[in-house]
Amino acid sequence: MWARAVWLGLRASAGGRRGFPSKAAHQGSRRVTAELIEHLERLALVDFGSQEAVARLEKAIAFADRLRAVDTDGVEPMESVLEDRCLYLRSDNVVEGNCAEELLQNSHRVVEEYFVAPPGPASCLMEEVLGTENMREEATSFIYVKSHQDLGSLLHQSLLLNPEGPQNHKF
Amino acid sequence: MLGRTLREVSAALKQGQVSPTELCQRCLSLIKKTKFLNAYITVSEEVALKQAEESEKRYKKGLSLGDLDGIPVAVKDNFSTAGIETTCASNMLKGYVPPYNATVVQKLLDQGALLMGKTNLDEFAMGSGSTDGIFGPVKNPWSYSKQYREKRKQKSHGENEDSDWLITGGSSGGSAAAVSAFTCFAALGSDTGGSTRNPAAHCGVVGLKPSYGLVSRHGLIPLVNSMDVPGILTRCVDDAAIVLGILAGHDPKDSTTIQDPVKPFTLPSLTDVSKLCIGIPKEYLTPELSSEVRSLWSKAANLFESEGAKVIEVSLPHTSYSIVCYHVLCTSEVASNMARFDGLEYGHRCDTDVSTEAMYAATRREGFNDVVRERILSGNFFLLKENYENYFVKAQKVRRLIARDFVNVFNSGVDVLLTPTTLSEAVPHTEFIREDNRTRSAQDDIFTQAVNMAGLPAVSVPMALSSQRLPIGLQFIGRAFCDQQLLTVAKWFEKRVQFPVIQLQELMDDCSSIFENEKLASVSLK
Repeated sequence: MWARAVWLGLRASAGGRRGFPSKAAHQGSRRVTAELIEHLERLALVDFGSQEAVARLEKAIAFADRLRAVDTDGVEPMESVLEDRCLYLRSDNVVEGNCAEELLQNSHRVVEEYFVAPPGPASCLMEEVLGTENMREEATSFIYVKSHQDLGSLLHQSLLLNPEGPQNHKF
Repeated sequence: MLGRTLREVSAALKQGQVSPTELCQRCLSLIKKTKFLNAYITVSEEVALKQAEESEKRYKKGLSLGDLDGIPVAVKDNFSTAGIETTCASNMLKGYVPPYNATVVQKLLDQGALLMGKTNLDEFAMGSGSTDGIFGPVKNPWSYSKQYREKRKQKSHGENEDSDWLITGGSSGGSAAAVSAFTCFAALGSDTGGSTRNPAAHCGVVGLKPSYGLVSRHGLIPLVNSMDVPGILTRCVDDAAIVLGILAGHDPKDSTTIQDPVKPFTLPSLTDVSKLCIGIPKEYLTPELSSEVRSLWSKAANLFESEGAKVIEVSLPHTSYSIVCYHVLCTSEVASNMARFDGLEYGHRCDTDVSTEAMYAATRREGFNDVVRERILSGNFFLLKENYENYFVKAQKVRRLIARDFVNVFNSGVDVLLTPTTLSEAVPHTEFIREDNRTRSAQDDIFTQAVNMAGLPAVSVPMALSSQRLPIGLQFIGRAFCDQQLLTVAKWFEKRVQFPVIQLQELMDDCSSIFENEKLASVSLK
């Protein structure tokens, strides 16, 4: 009984809007420019690899554009389904740790208790300014930055690109 | 013995009819015989045998830990397992050995379960076929079932029986195949958009996605923090309930787990469904739904109605936008989560050491496959300053509308929703790979991902075989944190439909010849 009603309803509206997003036709979708590609590759630190990949991004964007059709006036964004509950904090007690050696084992390059990173872009410039003999060879844990505007902003960039956790993408 | 339910085997172990070591060895032997399915990435033979030995000691003293003591289980390879390689089927984590166990893994081990191994998946759980990992695709055991083969022989003669094998669905395909082929009694999967329920439906097993916040995600390598949930795959609903009872509960290490007390429960055997109200979302009746699934769905609804339940049509008005919304939110969160893979502290690291940027970029290019890289790039696009409001925040708003749709339906008196899980039965691999990963995911996740966005519990229960003699499952969706009620209804349904057992006996006897063929066929890696 119920099924019939739905089934008949569907047949009646056949040719109307499909409930399923089929391979979308590009309707004035954004073209992905070379500039955008470079920007995305820089932010994501992965490359597209091929023209097909760029085409697939365009399709993905066109797909996402369907959201424009939804009326979201007065609707608050939902960040978590548990938004009505309190996020709690643990008490600030040390309950585990002392496993530096174990953790260091997973890295390909370590020196004593440091993870070793190759020099960042700021330090290449530092080398120019300070001279090679004054540069540390190894990890750039400490970068002495002179108050030089360009150097400072490059360092800032370098630090932003160093992911200790999820990046803040709001550049 | 391998075909029994958890409770039955547990009882047999207690009574001494079988020992944990025997059980373990039988499963290990079966894993070897079914190697061509490619369900396992790592088989932890030594670990399992040692655990079996300890379990045996406990049973001898009459001190078994519970229903899971001595029971072989498998874990999807995106859960961290201490001392056992955890790869996420990606070059990025190949060779990575975590120093800790995921909470859910620890809980299983604390109950005495035997860890058979880590199962195969799509790389980083992105995909709906379990075809896109570096260890190759997983094959659906039903491709080799007597039921399917006999039907195929009627249609085509003399064709190479193995060339058109079927996919398992994904991304927890390895876990589903492992359970379906009797190599373990339960397996952990993960469910972000349907990754547990989809392969469960295609492999004829039960796939449970618990409510978001009920089960800890600590140690589950994250994809989408606001939607990921550990999933449970078993051969019957009762078994899933047992495992859920063990896994559920607050974890101080995962602040998104709720603090309400949770106790293991026994599912009642429902006999009277007259007080039950089943909702059928009309928007799920799409033209793409195969006629067979549609008719089984209809049959299921009629079954409930004929037994006295109230079955009504309901509406989830934003259904058609749900997959788009999911696509935006998923890629955005993925872009953020994948940022941790930079080669410094763990995982793959490239050889270049010129500069951090060059090193990160090369490491990530070498470590991730196309699918992962594309999702990262898409996600970064949606998170750009100029796009943030129009795509990401917009999607978050649409998410609220979708979640609200469900709340409205449940508030109108509906207890459980009944929907299809997949559009059709499992398809052959050759057909599946004709479309790219994103398109396939968008198609295959259609009935499952809205549930993740609303954080609701859902379970796929195998109902019947298609005309091709392949499994078709249906999905039940419950109210948030009413997992027990959901499973009670699912159990009632399972009992009524009596889904047939997969007949793999011929396969086991015949396996040597199949195994030979497999050695010749090379696994294609991207």
